[in-house]
Amino acid sequence: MPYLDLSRTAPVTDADAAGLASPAAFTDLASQIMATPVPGARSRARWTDAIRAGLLAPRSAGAHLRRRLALLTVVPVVLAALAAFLVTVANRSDNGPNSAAAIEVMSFIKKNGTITVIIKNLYADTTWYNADLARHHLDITLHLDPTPPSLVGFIGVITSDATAAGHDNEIKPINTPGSCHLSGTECQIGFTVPVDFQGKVDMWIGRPARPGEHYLEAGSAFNRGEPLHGLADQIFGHPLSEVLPLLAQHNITVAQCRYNDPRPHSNATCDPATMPGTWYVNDVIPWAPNQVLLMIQSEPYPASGSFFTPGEPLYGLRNLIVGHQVSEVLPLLAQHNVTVAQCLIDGTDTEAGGTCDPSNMPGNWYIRDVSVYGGSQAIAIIGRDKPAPRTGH
Amino acid sequence: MLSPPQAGMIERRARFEGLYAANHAPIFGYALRRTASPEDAADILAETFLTAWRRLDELPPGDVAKLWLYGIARRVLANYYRGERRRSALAARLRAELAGSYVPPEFDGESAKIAEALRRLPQQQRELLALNAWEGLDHGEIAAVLGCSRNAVGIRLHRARTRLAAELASTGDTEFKIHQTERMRASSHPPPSAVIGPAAQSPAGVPSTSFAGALAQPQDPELPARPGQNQRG
Repeated sequence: MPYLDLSRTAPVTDADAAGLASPAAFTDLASQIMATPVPGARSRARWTDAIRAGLLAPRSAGAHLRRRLALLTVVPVVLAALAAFLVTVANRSDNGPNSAAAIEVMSFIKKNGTITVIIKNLYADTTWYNADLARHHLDITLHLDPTPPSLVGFIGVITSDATAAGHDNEIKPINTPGSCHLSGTECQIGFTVPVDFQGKVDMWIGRPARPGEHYLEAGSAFNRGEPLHGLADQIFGHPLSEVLPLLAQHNITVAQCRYNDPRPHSNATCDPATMPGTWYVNDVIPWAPNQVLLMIQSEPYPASGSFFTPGEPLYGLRNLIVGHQVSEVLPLLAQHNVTVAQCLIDGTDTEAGGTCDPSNMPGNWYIRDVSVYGGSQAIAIIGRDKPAPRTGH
Repeated sequence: MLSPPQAGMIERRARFEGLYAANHAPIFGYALRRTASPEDAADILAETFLTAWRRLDELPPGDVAKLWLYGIARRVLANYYRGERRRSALAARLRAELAGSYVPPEFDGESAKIAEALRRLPQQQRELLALNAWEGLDHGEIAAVLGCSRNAVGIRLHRARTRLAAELASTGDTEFKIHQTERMRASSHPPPSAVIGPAAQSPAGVPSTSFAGALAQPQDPELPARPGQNQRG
């Protein structure tokens, strides 16, 4: 099967990589790691802070640690019981996950077999959310990530284990993503989950960005609710000399620039202040409130990518093309001036694919995908059977 | 006589030391192949194993432990690509030894063309191909690392290879033949053409390409993630 053998193009083997430094240096790292405190279930938030401090300033965290250890070892009674007592006392008085402050982080309402979880404090430590969820028998690790307005309240599932996989779509946002106002105070962000939900899930929910933050999840700069909504056709296919004044008119700053096709030996990053006016935009990605990242290229067409993205001839037509028969799709492509330059047969994981003649594609086969060949020419990927509906890809 | 917490700590250290000894080279290799910077790879190694140390109770048994670590390293790397590059004070000594020690290899000819083509693939597909070709993971192992089904891996890997072949073909370089499907059964289907485009000689003077660039400079360094790029079953 591997007719393209990529293994010999690996830049470096594990053995050679490890050989770049002495074994003692690697062992030293392990020792440093083992010297960091291990979080116990009830003191997690405090240790997390200590570890974070350790990552930035080992001396101060070390001193902090030594004080705590000294306190524990001096006690002359059963060590474990007293240590537990001290940890509990410490948490009651500070901001650990069992403190009064932590309990305000989320609210849980059980009704009709569903739990509605509303996040009241959007800026709490992840460990506090996790502790609260664990108390409700939900093995959910929750991150609140700053996102543009159209993604506030949106739930992204990062990973789920085998038990939860396939059921993680039972976790639903409580409001339509993007319906929150930026102030956040009138907005409820949260999710519903079945009471008997099983398995382990790691997920994020979008929240408004605070001043100085940049977005961790981006979405599209052209979504409803974003400043560039409706302006895609004034941006794609137009040179930067026209696009930049348009952005300025809408109070958008280009905070970051990337080359769409990073050349060998050079950085992918370009300087927003020196973008060539004759170049074009490949994509606009929200970076922070009123700031975007531009991906730029010298040609008006994407070097690779999809005809289905904004500004492209087949934008919005994906549902009429993928999964439909060749005989239906070819006229639609012609209508939008897209020609098929190349044809590939989509194999399965047991059968390899092959090539086909673009001028002679069987009309009753199905389109699996359309990708860009160059200019307004496409590669059609076809298969004999109708593809299964996408469950989220 | 050791108190229970002290005995527990000794056992914990022994478990971690075993895990680290067996896996620091694969994780460091994984990070270095994707960052082309040994110092950054050291930070990723440190953060991965620090996470492992704190979550050691979740450590799966046997060979699955390595896949668990790849999964953690992947998340650390994702943060790294988004610009969250935390310098690890724990890795200071390792970083000092690594400074200036590594130059990414130069590739030419066929490998350079593969590198160029790989660069045009979406990040997810590049990573899939790399987990298979560079880390040598099979479909089941990749499924464990990515948290999706084995079937999904098979389908996506095939798509990634097809896409890569298309990218190579679109530049007119075709020492790579797409495998002929003798097993195709559709009677109404015309015989497929054997090779996409003519076989090409590499022109003299083609500059060599650093292949590490293909993954070291992903299409989206420091980009915030797009929804739908997160892997689902």
